[in-house]
Amino acid sequence: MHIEIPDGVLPPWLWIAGFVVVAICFLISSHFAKKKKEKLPLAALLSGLSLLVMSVPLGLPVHINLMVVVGIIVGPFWALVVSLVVNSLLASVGHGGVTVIGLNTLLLWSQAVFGFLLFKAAKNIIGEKEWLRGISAGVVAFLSLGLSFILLGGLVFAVNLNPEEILVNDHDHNHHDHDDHYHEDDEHGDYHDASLHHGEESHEEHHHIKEDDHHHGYYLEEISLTGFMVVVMPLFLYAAIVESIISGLVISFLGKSRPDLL
Amino acid sequence: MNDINLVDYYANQKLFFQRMSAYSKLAFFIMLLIFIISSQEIYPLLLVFGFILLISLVGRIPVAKMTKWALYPAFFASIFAFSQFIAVGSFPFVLLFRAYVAAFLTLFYSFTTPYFETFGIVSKLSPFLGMVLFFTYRYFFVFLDVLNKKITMVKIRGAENRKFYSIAKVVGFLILEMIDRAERIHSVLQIRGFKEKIYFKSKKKVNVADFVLVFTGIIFLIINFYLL
Repeated sequence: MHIEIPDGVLPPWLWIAGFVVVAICFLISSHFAKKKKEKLPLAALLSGLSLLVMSVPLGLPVHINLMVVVGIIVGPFWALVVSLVVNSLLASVGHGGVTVIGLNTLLLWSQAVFGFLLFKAAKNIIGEKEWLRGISAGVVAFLSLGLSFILLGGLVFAVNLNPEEILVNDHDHNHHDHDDHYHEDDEHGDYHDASLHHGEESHEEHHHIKEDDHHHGYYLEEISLTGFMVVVMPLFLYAAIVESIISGLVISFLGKSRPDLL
Repeated sequence: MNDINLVDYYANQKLFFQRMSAYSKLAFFIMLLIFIISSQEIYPLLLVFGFILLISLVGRIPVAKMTKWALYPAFFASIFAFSQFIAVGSFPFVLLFRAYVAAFLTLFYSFTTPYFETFGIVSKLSPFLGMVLFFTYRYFFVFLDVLNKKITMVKIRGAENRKFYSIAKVVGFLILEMIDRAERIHSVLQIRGFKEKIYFKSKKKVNVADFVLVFTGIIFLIINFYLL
């Protein structure tokens, strides 16, 4: 599951923040990934595999991405590199926007990280029981996708937080305090300041612009989380179930053939 | 054939835009993307869409494919917009068209610029990321070849009745086969003195057409910031 939201839908502050967070995480991850350079071909081929499976729709407009399998095999540091590479190449064919590469990378990476951590925990519980490995991988995949979906919900909710508006409101709040101060002065009949009217005008103007923006549907700054979830949840459940089954079977197969990989 | 495979095929043709420098096309792409994502009305979007369509036709880029593929992200944007339509009651058409034009522009860049040239630019920013991109690019096509053979094999053996099991087995076999191959390639590269860095130098030289393209992008930005 990742956001199939194209360019120009999410507010710039959100996708820019996505790029900044990914850049910081990438700097840290690449430092650790470089210490395990022998995993480079493996990470590259898993990127190729992920690209392939993400290009194949499962009937409905959903696809699997196998990021949990990637996380289990290469670990969390290389998984970030894989998800960044995969999202960048997918964006080049119009599959997800260029501007949302950062956010999509974070979402895919979260699946790999959750998958890696949960599978490690599951391994400690089930031990070397081969028949349970596939089942635990399937359950881990479903839980990881669920956690990633919660993050997606958080992201959609974050669209409603407009930092610009918060700053303007804060400014307005200060301005009102300032205005009150002038009113007090007026009461004393000292002077009347022109900036008071200017403040009121700019406040009205701000609301006018906001109404216009809403009218044109320019920004999706008031996304309904409920509406989004109602439409996306069935698609998510379908994709998550299919992906969990396939991930479980793949891990079970790899466990029998190359247990050293897991 | 896979989308990336087709894009790579068209990007490596010897046509007008394909012969231009990747730097100028990237600069043009970024400037027009800024124009698109900051457009509030349908008219500027129509202007930029018309322009890309025109230069694509002139440059003999497969417009029909671009038009069709750009619908894919617009379709996802419509799912998103539909979810908001249920809750809010208004349907943001400008937003959908913006998504379509942005995807159209991205495809224009991809259809005219070979991947390895873009990776060359990326490797100047992050040699590590550039290297992984180069490797992925190489493995992807090898993967595609192996996958096609495996799918044919599975079909001949009549394994389609057990769909999930067959998919998982194909993916598992692919991973195993590719791991063996990747380890072999890595060892070969090590023997040949590979220092975890790939150098890329484009043979393409910057000419007048590149300047014209960048200048056009600047004009769009000026229109966006001062005239609209």
